[in-house]
Amino acid sequence: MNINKLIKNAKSVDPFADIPSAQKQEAILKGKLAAIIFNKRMELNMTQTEFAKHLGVSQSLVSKWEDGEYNFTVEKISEVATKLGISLDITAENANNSVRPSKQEVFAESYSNSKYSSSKRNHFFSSSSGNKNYTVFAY
Amino acid sequence: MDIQKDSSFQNIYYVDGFWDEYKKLFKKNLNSYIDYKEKLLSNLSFLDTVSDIKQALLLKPFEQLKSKETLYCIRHVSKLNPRVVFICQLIEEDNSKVIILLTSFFEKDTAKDYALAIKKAKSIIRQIDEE
Repeated sequence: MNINKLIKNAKSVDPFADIPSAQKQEAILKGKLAAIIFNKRMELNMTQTEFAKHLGVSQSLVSKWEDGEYNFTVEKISEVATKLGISLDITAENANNSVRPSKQEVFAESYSNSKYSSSKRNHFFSSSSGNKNYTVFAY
Repeated sequence: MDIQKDSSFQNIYYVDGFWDEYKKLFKKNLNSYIDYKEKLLSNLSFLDTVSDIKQALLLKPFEQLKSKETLYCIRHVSKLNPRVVFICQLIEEDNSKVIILLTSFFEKDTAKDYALAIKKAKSIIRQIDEE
């Protein structure tokens, strides 16, 4: 099979365009984190069991990490990265297909905290003035 | 048979018709389609990023099929048991890899389903070779 010839003429596609953007990013990041951990294990020339012992975790947990489906918290991935001597960084760039700007401040007026749940939003600060609560959101 | 390159990755390719076939698998389970596709995306992101692909393919989500051609499978062990068959070729000149997804199926009757999938994969490879 002449692979070089095949891939040279390959048309570029995005077959995952039907997945919501946030979920798409999540899946890609999970895969990349799994690969970073796996690559480090290979560099250390360890089995999953040896690697687990090295990190003080179970082999089954290492297996879950490398499967690409583990939901790391920022705290957990920072802890693992530190133990492995890896420095992680995050870069952000505007998505080409974003419907709205990647960052926008919205000033919302709320009369009661219970009416506007902030559980799914990042809020910078809240303040009270008279009988109104003002919360600044960013998304 | 044409090959398509995934715009999100460096090394992931699909044969023409792969995604139509994959989506058809889920026509009776449309609710699960996006969930499985996300899992697949995570696997592809992993394969695209790993350095030692030979060792990576020994991990649980992957298996090598019993075939003369070197065929592999991404497996999601679950109620629907979808399997995605692919080939992986290493390019020595620049130490890179090329992963081409060929076909997919649900594993229900293990021997029969795998045999059919391998037969189909071989046919696809022949068509690619004839290009």
